[in-house]
Formats: sequence, C-alpha cells, structure tokens
Amino acid sequence: MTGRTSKKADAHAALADLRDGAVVAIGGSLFHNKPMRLVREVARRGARDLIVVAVTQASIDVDLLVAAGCVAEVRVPYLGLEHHGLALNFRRRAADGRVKVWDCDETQVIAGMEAAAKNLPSGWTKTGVGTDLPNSNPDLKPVADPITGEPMIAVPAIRPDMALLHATRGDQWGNLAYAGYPFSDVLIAEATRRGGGKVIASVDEVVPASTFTADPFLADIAHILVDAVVEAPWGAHPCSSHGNYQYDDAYLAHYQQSARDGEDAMRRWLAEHVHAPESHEAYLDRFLTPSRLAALRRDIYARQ
Amino acid sequence: MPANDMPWSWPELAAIVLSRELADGEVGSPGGSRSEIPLAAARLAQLTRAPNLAIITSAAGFVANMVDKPWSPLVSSTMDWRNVYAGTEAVLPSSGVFHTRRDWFFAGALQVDGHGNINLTRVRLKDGGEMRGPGAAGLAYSATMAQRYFIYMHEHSRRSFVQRLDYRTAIGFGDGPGSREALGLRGGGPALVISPRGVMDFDERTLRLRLRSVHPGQSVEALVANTGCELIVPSVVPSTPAPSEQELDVLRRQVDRGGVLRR
Repeated sequence: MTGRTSKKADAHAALADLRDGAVVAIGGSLFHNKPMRLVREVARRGARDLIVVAVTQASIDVDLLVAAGCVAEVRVPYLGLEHHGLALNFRRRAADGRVKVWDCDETQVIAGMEAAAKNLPSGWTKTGVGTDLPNSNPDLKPVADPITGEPMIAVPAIRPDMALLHATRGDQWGNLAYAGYPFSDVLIAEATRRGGGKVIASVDEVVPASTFTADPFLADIAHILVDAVVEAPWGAHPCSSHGNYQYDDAYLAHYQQSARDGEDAMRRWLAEHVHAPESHEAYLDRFLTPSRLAALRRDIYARQ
Repeated sequence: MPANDMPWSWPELAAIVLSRELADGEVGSPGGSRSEIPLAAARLAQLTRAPNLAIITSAAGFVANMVDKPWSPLVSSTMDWRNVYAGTEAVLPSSGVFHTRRDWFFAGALQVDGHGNINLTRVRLKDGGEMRGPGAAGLAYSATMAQRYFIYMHEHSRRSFVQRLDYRTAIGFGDGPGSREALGLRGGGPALVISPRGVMDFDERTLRLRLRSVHPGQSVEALVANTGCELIVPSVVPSTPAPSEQELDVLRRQVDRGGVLRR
C-alpha cells in the first residue's frame, strides 16, 4: 500500500502553477480572512494580467495586487478600505484604464460561482434588473424567465483557475477549520475545484489530522476541495483571521497613507513590505512585535 | 456638511432618527458607508421600543439581539469580531445569508435621484474624468428583494442629490409609478432618505422624493437650494423631532460608550 499524499506546501511551490492572465478568486471579506501571505507571494512573483474575483468584499488584498501591477481586471462587488476610505490604487488605475472593472453585485458573483460549482453554463438572478449593471458589464445578460417571462439577469459561470483562502487551522490532508465566519470560502472552493482550478489555503496553524477525525464537524471545508495547505502563522496580517486575531488598524492606516501619497510612495511601500522580506518569517520579524501580536489577540470574543 | 451646533453629532442624530423607523419583530441588516450608524440605530431600537427586532450582520450571518446582553463596543469595521459577536445567538450559513428574509436594510450612496435610485459605482468629474466608488456590494440585490430600505447620505448637496444619476447601481422607484411592478421586483422600494439637513420620504402617488422634516438648526431654504433633484416641499415642513433624553442616554451609555458616533 502506498501512503497518502500530504498537501502541505510552501507558498512558493503552492503558487508555481499560477500563470499570467489567470482568474484568481480571493476568499474572506473586507479586512477578514484575507490570505495576505499568499497575496504578497503573488505580488513577489510578479504575476501579470490577473483577473481577480472576490465573492463578497475586498480591501487591501485586491488593492495591493493592483498597486503591484498584477491585475488586468477586477470582479469585486465592493472594493474599499472601510473606515480608511476608498481603495486608492484601484481608483487611480481604474480611472486611467490600466485596470478594467467588471461591475457587479455580490449576488451576481455568487450566481456565477454557483453555476461553476454545479457545472452549469450560467446562473440566474433578479439582481441588476432595472439598473446600469448589465449596460456597463456585457457579461450580465438580461433574459426572460422561460416559465413566467419575467425579467432576470444571467451571469456566466465564473470558474477560477486558482483560489486563495485563509483558514485558522488545517491539516496535512487539506481539511480546513475557521474559528470565525468562513464567509463565502466554501463556495469559492466548490466553484474552483469543479472547474478544474487549484484551491490554495494558508492557515495560521497546521494541526494533527487527529484534530479533525476527533470531531468531523470541525472542518468547514473538506480536504477533497483543497489542493495545498500553506502554514503561515499570522498569515492574514494585516487583516484579521476572523475569531483568532484582529486586523492591524495602524498598519492599514500606514498603507492607506502611502496610497494617498501616490504611486512613488506606493512603490516604496511595496518594496519594503512585499519585496524586501525574503520569507514569511522575515516579514513577521520585521513588522510584528510581541506587544503588537498581544494587541491583535485582545478584543477577541472567544477569549473573553 | 452644514454647521451643527446641537448637543448631538450628525451620526448620533441619524442613528436615533433611523431607529424610530424600525418596528418590533422585524428582521433586517445594517450596512452601508459608516455602517456603525445603522448598527447603532438597530441596537438602539432593540433597547428602547423594539425588543424583538433581529439584526443580521450584513453579508455575514450573525443573528443578534442586544436585549439583556452584556455591553459590547460599537466599532467602525462592519464585520469586526466585536461587532458581529455582540448579542449574537445564531449564525446563518453563508449559502443562506442572502435569501433569508429582510424587512429592511440601509444603503449609503455617492448619488441619489428623485425616485430613490442610487449610485455607488462611479461619478463623472467636472474635468471629464471619473471617480470610482466602492461598487454595488449587495445593494443591487437588497434593493430588489428587501421589504423596504433607508438611504443615508453624508453629504446633502447638488452633487449628491441629482436629477440624473451618473450610474444606476441599485433601483429605487425606477422611472416612477409602475417601474418596479413592470420589472417584477419583490421589495417595496426605498422608504426614507436622511441627510445632515433633513429627512425625506416618497410621495405615495408620484413616488417622488418629498421633504418630511428638517433637522433642528437647519432651514428648508438651504435644504432646497442644495438639492439638485426634484423635491416635493409641503407648505408646512415640521422640524425633525429632536433626540429625547432617553434616546441619547441609551445611545451613549449602552450602544456607543466609546463615542464612535461622536468622531
């Protein structure tokens, strides 16, 4: 009998298949469960012309990839930095046409992802009827429901070539557990795998497989949907690992200030935060101190 | 923003006025830009007149009620752990979050027009360029399906209240009476618009924006002068009922001790 194959991988190997022009889905939402360790690796690799999809909401994850010149098209229902303001790198590059925008609502992306997950050509939704969304985005087709004739919108199946997720814990076989909300990560994994794409997950901690067999309800995403597990402690930083540690608001404010200061300032920020650290460990040693880590662990309900 | 020398801030006034719109037993989602305002409105309603109100956190499925729960801080980031776990009793799976019933939700916007259609996508600038907004988020969906919704505008000017939107991201009453019916939309459309100057609703017959009240310290003339879309102005426009002592007390001592709404 041959042994089972471990899916543990380092970030570099896990992203080896990423080709320019790929459709990349990023999990989490807003400042939560963003696989930032993997996002930084994508930027370090100098990927180009990516089509970036977020099922619900994106923030620094997509804005950073845009700033790094990795992105040709953004398919994101909300892209902003919440209380820090608009996504300025995205705004700049969308304004001068360097980045194409696929206008959409959350439920339209969900319809497209669900179609992919079910191996159907399109997903139908009521969302967008009577709006400009199907005018500015020709992929959103106004259709009539064949049963009742009422107006609907058809969204083509969205089949990511690669999904990047961040979970709290995982094992070497690819089972993933989230301490907080999994957001739409399950759907992203289903849509990506069904369409033949690769699902790459960073986790704060790789735990023994017995953790999952001891409680089969622990896994939010089953290993059959996952291709690679990358151990990355604090790997969502500066975003939160929902329920495990908070987002780093001071770091996000500094990022936003650099974005505000313009493209030269952003280049310096990327050089310092993305390109200079030679490894994830080097990044952690450079930007996180024990007292900062302690602060990020405070205010977590589960610990109160 | 017009000057405000009242003993409450604009976000506090918005939270209090909006909380009065929420009825006991309803289910809804706070959201939009500066989502701490509608979140405070919903918690305030639960702690004053609507103890059976249920909050579902935005696009995540945290179902919360603050009645008899330990105090929890109000913070700016919608899905901050401290926000979503405050008073949460159950969590909906992500696959069910969107189709679970919503009696109401909240929307911010870059622009609103006289029929309550909103733009969150892009605005044309005078120099010919355009400014990108954050995008639809889930508002194109909610505007189609939820029972009613409230629009809160942080700026009340001729740039934000416009005759014609630069982009229609989410539909209100469309082009007027009959629009929503013709499209087969489920929900009832926008119920109310609040700005730092006043409160507006929609005329039942024409579905046009109508001035309901001006806030204490604001004038009808200034509000009208700063409105770029058609606005029905009744001959008598009352003042927005000022926050009561009880409302301010519960808001500041139980909902927003940290003063997020006063920043």
